Amino acid sequence: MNSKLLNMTLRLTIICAVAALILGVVNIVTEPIIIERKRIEQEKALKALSDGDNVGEARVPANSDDLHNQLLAALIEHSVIGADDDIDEQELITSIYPVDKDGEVIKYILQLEGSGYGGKMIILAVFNMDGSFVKAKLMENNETPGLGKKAEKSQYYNMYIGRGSDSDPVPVSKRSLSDSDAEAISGSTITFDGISKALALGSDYVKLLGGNN
Amino acid sequence: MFNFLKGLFRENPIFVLALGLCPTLAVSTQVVNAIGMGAGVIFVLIGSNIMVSLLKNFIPDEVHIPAYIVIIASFVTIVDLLMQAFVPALSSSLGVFVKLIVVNCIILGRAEAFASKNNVKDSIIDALGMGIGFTVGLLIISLVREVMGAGTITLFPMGSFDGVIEIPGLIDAPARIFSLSPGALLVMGFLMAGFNWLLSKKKKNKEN
Repeated sequence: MNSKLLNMTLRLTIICAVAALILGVVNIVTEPIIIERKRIEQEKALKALSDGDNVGEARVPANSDDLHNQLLAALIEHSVIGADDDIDEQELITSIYPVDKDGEVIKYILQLEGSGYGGKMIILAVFNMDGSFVKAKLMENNETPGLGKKAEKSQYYNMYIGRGSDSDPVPVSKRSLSDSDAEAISGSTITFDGISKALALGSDYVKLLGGNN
Repeated sequence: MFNFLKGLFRENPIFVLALGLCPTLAVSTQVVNAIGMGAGVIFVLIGSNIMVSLLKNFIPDEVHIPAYIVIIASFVTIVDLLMQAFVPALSSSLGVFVKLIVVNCIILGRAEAFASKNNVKDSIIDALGMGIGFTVGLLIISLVREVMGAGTITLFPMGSFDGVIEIPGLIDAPARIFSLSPGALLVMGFLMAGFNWLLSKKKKNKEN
């Protein structure tokens, strides 16, 4: 009995060890290609979004209670979140790229995480210093073709352009859209919600960054 | 030849055996997904069938399922890493379903029902037939769903061709339901019925 058990264990271990070895080799070959490809993709998107201005080093949101509370207050005021809700901006804003012209920061590109119909969406969005939206690109996503996938096109973001100031915040509900824009997003409300909330967060965060940094 | 053809028609994994339906319904929103998923499944099927057939005397009966799973999971991980490195767009659009090939019943089913009892050559032929049968099924479903639901046919971008063929008339007013989950089940149901009707007609003709 014992020798049978030993035999089984040994054979299964051999199979696992060989499999692990092969996978290790494949990983060694593909890992640098995957990392390089992701870097190039990101660089290309940042270049297209910055309109030729210089994109600075990526940063992450500062870990400051003061900033967090101000952000929460702004988001509640703009109806992005409910009065009792809390968010973790360090999770939702994954990178902050300052864009400068002749050494002066004129815009910010934020890498934002939103939640769509198909799960996580990564959005790169450009905001002026006053928080007004300029343009965006939907990166990683799993949205439905013909519906949510429309957000991959740059025209999708026309409804947000210029919005983001305190008097005209980023629209987070269909009600704040024009009839034709509301029509355009029908059938993909969850994608719209995810993108809008991410952009509204980005807008309010950039406003807090202001001219500092 | 019989081993190859049975996967295409008489034992088509999707329409007749109804195996691996979960990823089938989930990824069949675009034609390009069907091609990618099909290629992935064919690769894993061939690889695992070869290994299972080669190792059938080495793998003890009592632990044959864990051994098969290790073999299948290894091939799936290889496919996943290769897709991420060389066809990233496809990899992100197939998402978690590439990883889920591990638990696709077709793969384990063929290892258990065929490769573990037959030689390598027959196992390869069986894998090819089943894999191509699966891909063809997936292609038909995704073609109907994408054309009707989005008015497009999405293939791989090549040179100046961006990979998307737009169907005039349908692109402006597609029947969105086909892109969504209920559409997947509807299309699947009708195709399955059609396939079975064809097969039963053929059988009747033979009997007469």
